[in-house]
Amino acid sequence: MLRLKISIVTVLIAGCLLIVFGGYLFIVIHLITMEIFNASIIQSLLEHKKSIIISIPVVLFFLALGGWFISCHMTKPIKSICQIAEKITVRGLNQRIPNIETDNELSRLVTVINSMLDRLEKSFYQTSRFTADAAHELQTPLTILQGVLEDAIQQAIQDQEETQLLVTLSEEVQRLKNIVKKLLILSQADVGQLDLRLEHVNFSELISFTIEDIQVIAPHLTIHQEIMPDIMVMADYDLLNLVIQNLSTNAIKYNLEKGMIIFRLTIENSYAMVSISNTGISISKEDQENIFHRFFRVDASHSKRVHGSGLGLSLAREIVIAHKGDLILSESSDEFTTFVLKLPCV
Amino acid sequence: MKILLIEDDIKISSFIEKGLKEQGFIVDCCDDGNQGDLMIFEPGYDLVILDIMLPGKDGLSLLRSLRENKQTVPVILLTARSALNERIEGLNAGADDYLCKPFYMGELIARIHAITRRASGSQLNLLNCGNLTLDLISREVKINNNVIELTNREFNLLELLIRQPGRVLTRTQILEKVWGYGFDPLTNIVDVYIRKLRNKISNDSNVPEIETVRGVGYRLKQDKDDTECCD
Repeated sequence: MLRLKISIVTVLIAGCLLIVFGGYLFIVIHLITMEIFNASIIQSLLEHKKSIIISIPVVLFFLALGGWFISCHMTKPIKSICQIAEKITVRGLNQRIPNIETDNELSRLVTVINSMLDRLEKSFYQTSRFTADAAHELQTPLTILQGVLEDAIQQAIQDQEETQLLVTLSEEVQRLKNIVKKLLILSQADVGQLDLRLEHVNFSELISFTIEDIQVIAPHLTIHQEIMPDIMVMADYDLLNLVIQNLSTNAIKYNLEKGMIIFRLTIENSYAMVSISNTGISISKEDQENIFHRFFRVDASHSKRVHGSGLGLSLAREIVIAHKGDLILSESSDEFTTFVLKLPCV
Repeated sequence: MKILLIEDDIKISSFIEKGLKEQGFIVDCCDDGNQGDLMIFEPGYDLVILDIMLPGKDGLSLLRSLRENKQTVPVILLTARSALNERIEGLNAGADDYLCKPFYMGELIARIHAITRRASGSQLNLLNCGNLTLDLISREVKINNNVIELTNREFNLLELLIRQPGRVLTRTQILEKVWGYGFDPLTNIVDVYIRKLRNKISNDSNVPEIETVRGVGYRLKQDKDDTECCD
């Protein structure tokens, strides 16, 4: 914007200089061609030479000033368009730029931007609506499957092959249910409408419980913990629990045979900071950029077989962001892979 | 106890009906909002299970017209979309409880029991089974007035079992209800905690046994002589 203003001022000054120079040339040529040799005119011109020379910069200064104001006035609508457009994010795609009626070119620009936003909003909502509808439509058959299977299991006789089959089926239904649930949360997060049931959560306690669980799930791992007691956060307990469980499960899955997990919980600048580090193979540079993408999974072919949907980390990050916090991969070396989660404290 | 079930999907309503009848409830079914609007005002129902999405009049407007006419019959809402607004709207309209699809029958039955206990004015925070008492507020477990120390997870596990006596709970079902859905369903965590819990509570013969149903899961053994057990 500044460059535009300067160039307008420069053009104005250059124009004026041209006019002055042109006028001067015209007078000189005129005097020569007309061969009018009137000493008095030349005399008076020469006499005023000093004041003319002084007046030129003064005039130029006022011209520049005027030019500056004119250009400021001209670029004002562009500036306001920029300001509004900057504020339009995924969370507020319904915003539009107010039309400027005085200027034809600019009002055309505004119309073009607005109609682009229309198309963007429409396709964006179609996508997230599709996910939400799909998840919703899946819930009816899942309810039936789960209900009928549950009933069959209640009637089943233990130790029979059919019973085992029913249990396997019900486990798969459960897995499908979890994926649908996660997709629904993601689609809600996309439109900024994640359903948070906020309450005071004792974060230290939640992490301690998870550590207890890990000691049961993975007794072969060494666990170190530095947990500051009674750190409180405002959060949705179930969703935060999901995030911590997810990070912990990853720390177990991608660990060494006799590896280590380190949990740290501290307060920094009124943020609760959790870091979860595990030993294991480092995540390559290109994978580091992708691990928070949906359905992405680090190629596990060189390590052990790993279960999961590939939704965990992207979901965890969306949940944390909805809580006005952040989740990052802070380090991945041959020694440790560390995820850091921060949440505003109460 | 007589229950009115208003649910448009016949497959869903049939397994709910079956599950409720097995518990000894009398169930009337209705698959349409307009017909439901007539049936819901019929006297004699002790509880209504109401789906929100219905052909004809939807569940929420049925509920509103019920409460506007000063009918206090308890209502449990079934919702498919667990969105915040729908839940709050439902509770504001006068629902006593809500359940998100997909739900377990055992859970629905437990909620029905909880609501009838509330209506009968019994102490809500206490759950009894044999000589085992769970206080849901102080989170204290007592056997013959002796306090048993349980961890948070052990307490939640015992509460889940005690709320659905006699029903088999699969490992994945227990994992979902006690731990949430962030853990790998292939872990042995449920078995380990059941073992811990058994060690803490089963040194008394009057305490109901946590029975292993081989290849399936676990259940709290219900004493057949004592039907009031685990209420």
